[in-house]
Amino acid sequence: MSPDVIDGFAQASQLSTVLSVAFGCLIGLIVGMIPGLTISTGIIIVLPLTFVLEPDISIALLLGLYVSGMTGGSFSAILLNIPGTPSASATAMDGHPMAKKGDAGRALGIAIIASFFGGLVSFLCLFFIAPVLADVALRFKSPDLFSLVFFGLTIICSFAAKSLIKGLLSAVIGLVIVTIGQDPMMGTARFTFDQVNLISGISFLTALIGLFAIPQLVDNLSEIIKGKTASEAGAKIKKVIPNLSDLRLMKIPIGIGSFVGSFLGILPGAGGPIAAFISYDYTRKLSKIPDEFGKGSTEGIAAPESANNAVTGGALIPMMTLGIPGDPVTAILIGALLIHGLAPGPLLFMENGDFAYGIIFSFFWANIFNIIIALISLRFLVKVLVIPKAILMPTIAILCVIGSYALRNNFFDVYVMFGFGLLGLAMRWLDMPIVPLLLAMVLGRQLEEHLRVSLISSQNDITIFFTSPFSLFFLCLAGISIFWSLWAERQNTKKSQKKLI
Amino acid sequence: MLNSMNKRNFFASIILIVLCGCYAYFTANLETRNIQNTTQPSFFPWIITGCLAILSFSLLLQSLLTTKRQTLKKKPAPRDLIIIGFLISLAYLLLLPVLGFLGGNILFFAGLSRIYGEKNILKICLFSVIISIFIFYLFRNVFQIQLPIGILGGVLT
Repeated sequence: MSPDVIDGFAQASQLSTVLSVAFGCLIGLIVGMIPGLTISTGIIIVLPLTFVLEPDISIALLLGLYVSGMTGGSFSAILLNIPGTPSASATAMDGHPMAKKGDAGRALGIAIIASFFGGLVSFLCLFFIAPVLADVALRFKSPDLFSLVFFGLTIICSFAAKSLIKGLLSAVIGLVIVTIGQDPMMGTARFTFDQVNLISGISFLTALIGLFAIPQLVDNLSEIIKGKTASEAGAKIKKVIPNLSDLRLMKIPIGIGSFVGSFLGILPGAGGPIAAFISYDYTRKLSKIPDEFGKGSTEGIAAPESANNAVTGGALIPMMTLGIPGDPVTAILIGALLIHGLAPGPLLFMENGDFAYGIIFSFFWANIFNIIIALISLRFLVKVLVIPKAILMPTIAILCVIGSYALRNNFFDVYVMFGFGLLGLAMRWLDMPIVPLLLAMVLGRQLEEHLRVSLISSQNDITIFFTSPFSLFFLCLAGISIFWSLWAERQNTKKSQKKLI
Repeated sequence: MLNSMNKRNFFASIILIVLCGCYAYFTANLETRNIQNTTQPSFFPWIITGCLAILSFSLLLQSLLTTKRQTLKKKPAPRDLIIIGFLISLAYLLLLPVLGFLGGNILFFAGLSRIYGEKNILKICLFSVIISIFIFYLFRNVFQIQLPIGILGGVLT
């Protein structure tokens, strides 16, 4: 066994790291279950805390939050029929009917156990696939890396947007923002307008806080939940551990969910909701009792729950090996790593192998603590659902302001954060997705650097991108991704026109 | 006649075309370096300008040519609350360097708490003071992040 694996395990198993994972899991369960708060917002809230922590402890905390946030989302989906996170939408379809029958505890137990196995399978995928992929990625040269980043951007745009034009526009706006600051090759100032604060560019995390948190605060003004309280639902929680017949029924759905989730997690942009619905659909088709689906089926809860937790490990694979985030949460994780001077990508395994394996084992611990904390504290945790929004939302707003200030101890970042909040609101008003902008901000600099280095090395000959097999492969994939989304958009337009007729 | 989403797309595309023009102007004025066989700092911004122009005009054309009625599914938040929230945030931003994080956050919290539906003044005061002080001391003393105190400096130190 590689010494990096052993060192990584030792690093992830230190008391401080393990406690950090456990704390992250607790926060994640709470954040995940509160409707109107996403995992991204949860991470944004705790992000200022990570500035003062060691990198391994910071990432452990964020991973705990990521994993448990997925599970927490199912709590409100089951108890209130309001998914705490988008990934828990499919869980509500059978979880809530089961809770209505008086089996809320059993439904929650099924969700927690399925989440655990989904997470565990994705940990195995992460452990075995990530180092191999990193090895392959080490052979990539600048043209290959440019094409890979370009492919990452196109696939995210096509997945994240109903309209390809708007998805691409969002990404291009992100690229415009990335060009503010010093030129990566020559160091000259670009679009800084003699502002000292702009020389180092716009901070990704400041932009992220504004883009995610402010639109969500505004959204919550119109989404005040009336009449449903967790105290009512919480009172019905009796037995949490599922019975033997449930466990037998869960085997196949967990297998399907874990496989689909891990696979789709690797694809940038696919994410938890898609994985949850696909595995729900497959499980129903393969089930011996398909009629039970929608009425409180054990399989109907286990499949989407294992899938959305399996996505987490899958999404970490491209993040760690290629530096390409699979979803907004992994984009934030990249930002958190960059703050500590660590760049995710193939070199992470080569230069900081122990740290890379530390992340993988922290992910393992996150899954272990997720099931333990969720099962033990379930009855207390659901009480969080009764916190009034009049207290919760202003608290989040204050944490966002302090978070953006704490990044560089600068009021300028607070103003920038609010500016991005307004941009986020404008984009929402236009039905323009925010995720491509965010990912363009993460990948933009790499895209420019690899493009320019490739052109300098080839003396401005663009055929360099087509002569390398890796580069050609990624460019073909990018082309397929664009044409696929154009085709899908056209099909949707045709369908809606038919409906109108 | 443009439907509501097409109207939005139309205005957005006009704004983006203007942005593209400004971006192109500033790109054209970027500093250049006299180094052979290299790409200039304006190289990548020009590519972005091209992409932005193509996509903005595509959105403009789409908004003018699409007859499909796109319905707006989401129920918008109450406009008056958004405006009040915006004004509170603006006042907070302007006063933050003067009031500091403690005083500023107490007032900001109270204002937001009111627009999120809390009517009991006592509760608003209580929670805004307790939570703001807790967060302030957490960051200042536990996480060692030097949050400015503002005019309350004399009282707290």
